[in-house]
Amino acid sequence: MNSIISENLLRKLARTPRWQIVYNRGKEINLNLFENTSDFSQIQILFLNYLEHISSLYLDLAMGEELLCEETINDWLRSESYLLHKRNKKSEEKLVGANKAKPSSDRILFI
Amino acid sequence: MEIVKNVREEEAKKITTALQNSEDLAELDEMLKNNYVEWKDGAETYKVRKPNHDERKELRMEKIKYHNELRNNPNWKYEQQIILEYANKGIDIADMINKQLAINGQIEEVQLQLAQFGAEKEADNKVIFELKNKIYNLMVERNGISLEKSNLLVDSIEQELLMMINTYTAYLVLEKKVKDKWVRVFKSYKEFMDSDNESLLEKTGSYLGMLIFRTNIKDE
Repeated sequence: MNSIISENLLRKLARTPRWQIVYNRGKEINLNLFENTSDFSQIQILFLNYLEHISSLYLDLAMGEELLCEETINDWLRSESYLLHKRNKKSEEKLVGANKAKPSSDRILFI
Repeated sequence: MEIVKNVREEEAKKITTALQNSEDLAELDEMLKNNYVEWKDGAETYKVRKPNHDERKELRMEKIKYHNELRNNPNWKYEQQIILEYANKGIDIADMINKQLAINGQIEEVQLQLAQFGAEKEADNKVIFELKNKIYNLMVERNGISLEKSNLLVDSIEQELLMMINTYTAYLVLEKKVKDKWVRVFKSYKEFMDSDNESLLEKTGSYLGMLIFRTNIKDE
């Protein structure tokens, strides 16, 4: 075993169809991914993050997200950038929604 | 003839890399199965695992004891004190932290530009390459600052405590199999620290880095 694990290798393993299928099916039927069901190690936690990250990218791709393609998913920097863009867009939308829902000061006066 | 030889060497290299990658993946797969690591060294079987409740409690008490010792020793200083001392010598660590934060912001800006490229068109390749390069360069710059900062603060109380936590945890959770039972390899922390079995200590540190501290999982 190497003394240093590269995150690239973890991501590569998380992208394999076997792990993606196990992860997605596991969520549906409550399947255990590891022999331990709690008290996860750091490497297991990181791997679970990568499984979720890649699974959500494939879901967006299937939904026809135009800023995504297979090359983006296989390129860590590009997929990270895509998710950052998605997060920013979501918080902007939330902010707009919150502003719309806010009662105006005039209405408060009448109440 | 020379070309044929080069092609063969290139192919052999590719096959070796592919084999190494698949071996690494298989090992990693195996390691993920559980929250402990077992390995053989000669006739001995060793194991490192996560500390249990009692061990975490013991570690906490030892940490408090050592912290008090360091606090009462005038040779040891907290990071904040060291930062002030360096500031008086004209080395601005606070500025280094601000620079790191600014670079993080710059990286995000370039990432948002990179995110605008969906299904790849031939014409986009050059821009994508340049943006990725820009991000890598910023990351290198940020890591350089981080390293410089860490080197300046390496002798702080915080860093010394971190080191003690790592070594004490290793002492607590390194076990060997004796007649089907797992027992601690070292009888005391002192014995662990005095040990000259470098290969065993190095392996223990590496595995704990993956299981607990996340120090041995690196991004390229």
